[in-house]
Amino acid sequence: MTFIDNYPKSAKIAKANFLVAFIALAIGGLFGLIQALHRTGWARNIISSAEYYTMLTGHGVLLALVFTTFFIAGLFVWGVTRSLDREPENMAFSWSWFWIMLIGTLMATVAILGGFVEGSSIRAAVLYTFYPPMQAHPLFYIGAALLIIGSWMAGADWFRSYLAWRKEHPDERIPLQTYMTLFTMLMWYVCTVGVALEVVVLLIPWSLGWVNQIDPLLPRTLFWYFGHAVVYFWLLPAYFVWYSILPKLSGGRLFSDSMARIVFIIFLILSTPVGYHHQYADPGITVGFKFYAMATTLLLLLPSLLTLFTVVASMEHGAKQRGGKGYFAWLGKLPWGEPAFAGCALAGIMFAAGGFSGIINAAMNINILVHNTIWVPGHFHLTVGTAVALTFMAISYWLVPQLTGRKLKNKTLALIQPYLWFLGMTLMSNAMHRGGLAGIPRRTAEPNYSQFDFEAVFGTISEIKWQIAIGGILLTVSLVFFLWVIFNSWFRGERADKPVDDFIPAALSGPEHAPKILDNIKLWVLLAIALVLIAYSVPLAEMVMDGLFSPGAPTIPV
Amino acid sequence: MHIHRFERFWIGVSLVAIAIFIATVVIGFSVYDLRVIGAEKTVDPQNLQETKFADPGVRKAEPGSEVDYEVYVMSRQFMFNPGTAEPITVPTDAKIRFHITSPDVLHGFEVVGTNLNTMVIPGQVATFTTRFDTPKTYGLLCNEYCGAAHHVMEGRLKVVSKSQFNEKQLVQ
Amino acid sequence: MDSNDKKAENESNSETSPSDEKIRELSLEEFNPHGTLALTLLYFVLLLVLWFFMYFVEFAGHGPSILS
Repeated sequence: MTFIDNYPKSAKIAKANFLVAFIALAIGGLFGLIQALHRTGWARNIISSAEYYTMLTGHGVLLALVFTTFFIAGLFVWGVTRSLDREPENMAFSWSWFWIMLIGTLMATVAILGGFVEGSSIRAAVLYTFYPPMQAHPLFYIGAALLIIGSWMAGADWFRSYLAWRKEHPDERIPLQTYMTLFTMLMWYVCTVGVALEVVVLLIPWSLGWVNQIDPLLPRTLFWYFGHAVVYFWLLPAYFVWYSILPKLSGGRLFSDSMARIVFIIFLILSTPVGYHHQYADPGITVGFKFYAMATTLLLLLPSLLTLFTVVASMEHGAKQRGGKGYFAWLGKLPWGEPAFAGCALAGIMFAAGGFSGIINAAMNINILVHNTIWVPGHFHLTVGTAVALTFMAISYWLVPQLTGRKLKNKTLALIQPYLWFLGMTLMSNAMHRGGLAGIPRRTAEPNYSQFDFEAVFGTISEIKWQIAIGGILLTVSLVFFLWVIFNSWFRGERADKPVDDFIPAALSGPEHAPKILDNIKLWVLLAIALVLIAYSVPLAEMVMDGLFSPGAPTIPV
Repeated sequence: MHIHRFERFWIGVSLVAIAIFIATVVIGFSVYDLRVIGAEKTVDPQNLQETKFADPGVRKAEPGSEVDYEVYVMSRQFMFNPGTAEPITVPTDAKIRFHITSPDVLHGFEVVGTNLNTMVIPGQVATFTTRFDTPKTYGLLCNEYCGAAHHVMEGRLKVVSKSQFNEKQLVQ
Repeated sequence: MDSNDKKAENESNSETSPSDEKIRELSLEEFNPHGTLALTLLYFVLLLVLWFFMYFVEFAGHGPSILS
């Protein structure tokens, strides 16, 4: 008996979400390869440089918004169902949020892909940050709004399950996986208010032509109100995997349940008031608010550093139970030959490196050194592009068998895949960081200029390009391996009663050691709202005071 | 609550690390004078002809000003004015204040290989002060996506020694 | 490809899950994460060294900068 036998309805909806996620991953990943080859000049004839920006929009939207959101929805359906031991309360509602998210995704995708059709008026080469006054087709904004509304309903679905469970278990602690799901979604509600206001109040009326000018700073600020917390919306599900599944895959038990809860609380209260750290280089925002954002951002290092300790200690517990010894020798006793474990562990190592470049990004004045250079995508390909994406891929090797009742096929390929991803990302990302220090910009089809040359600080410019192209190729090969293994296992895997060992042991220090206040959802939400008000009420009021749409810039269609 | 003594120690170490990072930025800000730009007056991006951006370029600062030269740069799809057609020319050993804005979309203003880097947002004026110690010609590029030809938006910033700087070229 | 697949399948059939390889059970009281502390402290030192290098050499050492 595995998940699909115990909870067939949940398995079905989780699989539907994973399917959409993997299709988005395939298309977005292919776009990434073409961009790497185009940018580095290895192949400039696949697309034109103008089409590069359409493709870059597709890469960002399909991977950062679609792949992540659908995978997370599938993961949380699985986690809430198994940890509460109940399927969703109303399947019609569950399927309705899935379809709303999917319809939104299709609308936005059509708007983006329209950019490849010559003469098409449906275009959306505005990148996934869609800063006005550059204007996309209304389909793009309406689609984005539907994706977010669908995700809100998904969160409501999990709260509904929790409340129904609570009625039957009035005195029990919230099971950890449900706890992590609810806190991630609470953070998501707090932060998506910004982008929902931006899209619904400002951008949709403007893209439909009801207003003909727009104040660029206000929507940009609302975007970044959402735009940093969204990275934690991607990251927290990876933490969900690292806290609740990785210890088991290591052969051990979670070191501390309380620490996991504390970490999620800190993310709920600090994720949103940090958005200005994406606007350190913006005119129109006072230095004081930038400083407040920096202090809160750097405080957010704390939950990640705590996670580092708790998760590594849980792995060490596994290794020591498997006979590991010493300060470092135990690392060799970890199951490096298991694809699910290896992928999660390698993702964690990459996250440690991404943490460092993130500190540079976060630290106000030194951020100017790397602002909008290719250092920044170098950073987030380590975090969302590896810590999150590789964890999602690796855990699929463990989840898909539970959801389909079939064993994993092509295990050798599955094992090579995360190592190949790690290698490809090491090449691509280190080169992007160094390119950024040389001043090479991000989001540029042709970083070659006629009036000057870049000078590398470490290495040479041609070697940097070479590493980016090779890295991109290796990542694509790794992605093809992943898709092949999943496709084969999903449709052709051997049916089995127990296709994978899905038992998750209790934490070493369980919820009995965690103070009750950690489960006080209302308290932490109120604190989160208070910190957001401190950070945003004054600057937003200043921007709105002179009129929602002024100082108004004329519309520039893409 | 059960927290292992090693983990308690690690929490302490983490907080020390965070304090060190914040302290470094504060020291950089106050002792090394490494600043970020803040909020200045807004402008109407559809009426820039009534401002100094109508006649962009390098100007001598008003007498009594805390800087020596003021540089007005108009960033538009897909050029800097000045910067692209002819370089922005400024002297060494002078306090120079840049004012940059855009009449159309967002742009970036990056002086390649330096810490001069700002967003250019329609409706806002990016204002910062700097000083160049040695003569050198720097590359200038737009580092915020601004449209289909974003990648051709570039220029130069030429720093000449104070003695060779020709004030006749200034915008009057 | 076929033979590779077979080989992979044989491996997965003969696979033993990590918990089966467990040779001892370590309780909360018996377990002290020495290795974790060593690793995290190494990471701390590395972070600080890289930080000071980036801040004072790469950033503050390379002007011109925004002064006010």
